[in-house]
Amino acid sequence: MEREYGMKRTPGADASGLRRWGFLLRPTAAALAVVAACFFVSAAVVFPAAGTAGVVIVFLVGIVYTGVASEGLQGFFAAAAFVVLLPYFFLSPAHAFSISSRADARLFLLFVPAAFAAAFLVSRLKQAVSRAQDAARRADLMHRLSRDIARADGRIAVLSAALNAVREVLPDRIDFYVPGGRELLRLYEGDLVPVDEHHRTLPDWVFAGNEPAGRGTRVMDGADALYLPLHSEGRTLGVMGVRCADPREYFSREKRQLLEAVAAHVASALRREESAANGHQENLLAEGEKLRASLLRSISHDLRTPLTGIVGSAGFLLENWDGDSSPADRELLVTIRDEAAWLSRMVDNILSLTRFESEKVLLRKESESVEDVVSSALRVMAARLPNYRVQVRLPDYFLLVPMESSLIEQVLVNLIDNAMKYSEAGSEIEISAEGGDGEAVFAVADRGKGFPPADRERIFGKFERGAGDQIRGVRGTGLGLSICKAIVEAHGGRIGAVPRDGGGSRFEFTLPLEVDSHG
Amino acid sequence: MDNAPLLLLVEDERSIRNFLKASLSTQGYRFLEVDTGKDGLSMAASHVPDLVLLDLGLPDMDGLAVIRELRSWSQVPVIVISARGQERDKVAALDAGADDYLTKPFGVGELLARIRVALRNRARLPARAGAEPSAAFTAGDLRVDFEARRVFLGDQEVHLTPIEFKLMTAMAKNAGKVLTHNFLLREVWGPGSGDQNHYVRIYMAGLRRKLEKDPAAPRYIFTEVGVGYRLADE
Repeated sequence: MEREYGMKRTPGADASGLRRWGFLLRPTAAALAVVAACFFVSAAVVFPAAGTAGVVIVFLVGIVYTGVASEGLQGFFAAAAFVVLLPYFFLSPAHAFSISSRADARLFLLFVPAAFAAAFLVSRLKQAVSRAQDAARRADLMHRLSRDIARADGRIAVLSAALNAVREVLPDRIDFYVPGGRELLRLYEGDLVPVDEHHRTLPDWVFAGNEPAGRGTRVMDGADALYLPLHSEGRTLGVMGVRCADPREYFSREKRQLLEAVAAHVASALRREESAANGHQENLLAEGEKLRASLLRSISHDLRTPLTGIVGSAGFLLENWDGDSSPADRELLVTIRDEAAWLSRMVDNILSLTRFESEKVLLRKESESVEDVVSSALRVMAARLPNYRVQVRLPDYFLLVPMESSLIEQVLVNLIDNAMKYSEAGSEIEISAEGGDGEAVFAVADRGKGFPPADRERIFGKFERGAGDQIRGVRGTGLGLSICKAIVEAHGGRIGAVPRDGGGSRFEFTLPLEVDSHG
Repeated sequence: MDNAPLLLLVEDERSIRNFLKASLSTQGYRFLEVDTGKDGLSMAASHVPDLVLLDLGLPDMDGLAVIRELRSWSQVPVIVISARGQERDKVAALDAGADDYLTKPFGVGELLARIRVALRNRARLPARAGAEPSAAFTAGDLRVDFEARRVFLGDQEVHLTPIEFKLMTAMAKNAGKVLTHNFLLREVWGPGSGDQNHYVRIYMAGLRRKLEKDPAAPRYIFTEVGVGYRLADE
């Protein structure tokens, strides 16, 4: 029967009060039965046969038996009962509380402490046994829990295993609650079902606050169950609800410790499951990346091979040019070679774009020197650089930046190519790099056509080109800058462009950095 | 001529093979051609070429596997041909024993230069006319005297720290050939240096500052980005 939290206390208290007394009732009744049995046996058989001594022995046995058979306290009850019964029925004069004979009086005086001592010792023994039994049960529970949870795969399996293990050993009812999106889910018959609004309050509270609440705690102690957070490695993964079979146990420190141990076990298993799930995700990502990389590699091979043939053959013919042949023919060969080179750069850009289309890209970062990557980019553009006035500014200090170097080289090549495309021959192009505040700043500036300030963002979009490009004979698919943006942002950096005073543009990008100064 | 070096071309694309053959014959090289890794290995064993040109994108075998197999019984110079953006593969190939690499698309000049360097470094070609004895290395204005442990740029002596000199020596002894970061790390800092190859970059930057007028337009020390460094051999 589900009960609402925070309901009126009285009915609940009454019912549990009755239950509380009820727990005492049964053993006491049993003790009474034993006392009665001893009495009748003594009266009927022992006293006539063995006299007072015999009765004393039977009574002592009765005390011990009562203590052992019950929870220990009932032994005292039996002792008290026998202390009354002995003089009244078995010591002369019978049916009276007085003792006539001296010997009998001494016997009685010995019997009283002996009876209570026996009861006391038995109860102590009983307590020790009870503790040992508890400890054994706890150990059994923890053993089952560890064993079954270790074999479990997945959240539901873990919780079901825990539930079964607890059920075998404890009489209490356990429930597990875990988050599922915006719902709170409860394990019910091997499945996780959403908990309705009315019953979510306390588990939600415990989940959010990471503090126990409910019966036996200081928070909402009128609830019908105790809720413990399932907490591991700094995160709360769920809630365990406990309805104790014996309400006194809500307040038992030992029981609480046991429940918290169970909770800790389950929490750590849930944490393990979560890590495994995340690891699985990462594996999938890595597999996806591997597949993509191998696809790109084979496409790249297929596209670059004919280009190699073209560039190589044209280059070879040019090298061995027969001076007498027509210069116009030579021009054609130059065209073939240069166009093939342009095509090759286009292929690089398209393939890069494919790679960065996906949501998460795994970069192969290494610490590279700024000088290395800039000079490398300049070498790629070496053939066309002499057509412009190129200035390079690099820092005096040594600057190491984590990056996937061939990609950053591609960014620089694209930016330099862009500058050349939009500038007149002979004009200035400035390439610079310097260390900033936790980042390296690269820039390519030109004195070319520039762009309207309103287009600052748009030019980095895919397939975007300056207005009127076609008319001015500038060729390109508009991919270069969008690749730069994708690469820089994948590195955790920023890229932007500003028009310059006096004409031209300045393209700047940053990369987060490690600085190492070298004297 | 029978003395001309014999080159083995392991390349599955016919257009590239044609271009290679045309270029190579201008230098008088002899060559053999195969189009699979397996054939490459058996030809290398039976005909003992002076140099192998190996495309990493072969249909039947992983280029790396070919190199490893080859290196297990031969020290023949190997130049790998790969596509751009496969730096990891290039570094792996070089660390597995390849001597140099070419990136598609490449031109004749690059091809012939690499071949020349690789052949010379394996002492198959007679020394270049006018070359210094192996006690020193010269390229342009740069001169490295191994015995005296001094370096000159033209008439000026360049003062290098001991580590810089070690680096310089390692590069000079393998001039013209690409050297990976890991290779330089091991040569200068010893085999136990693990993965700390940023040391190489740091010291290389220092060396470059001392030798190059314009670090952005180097004359002697070239960066092969993502792979390593190369010292000009002339």
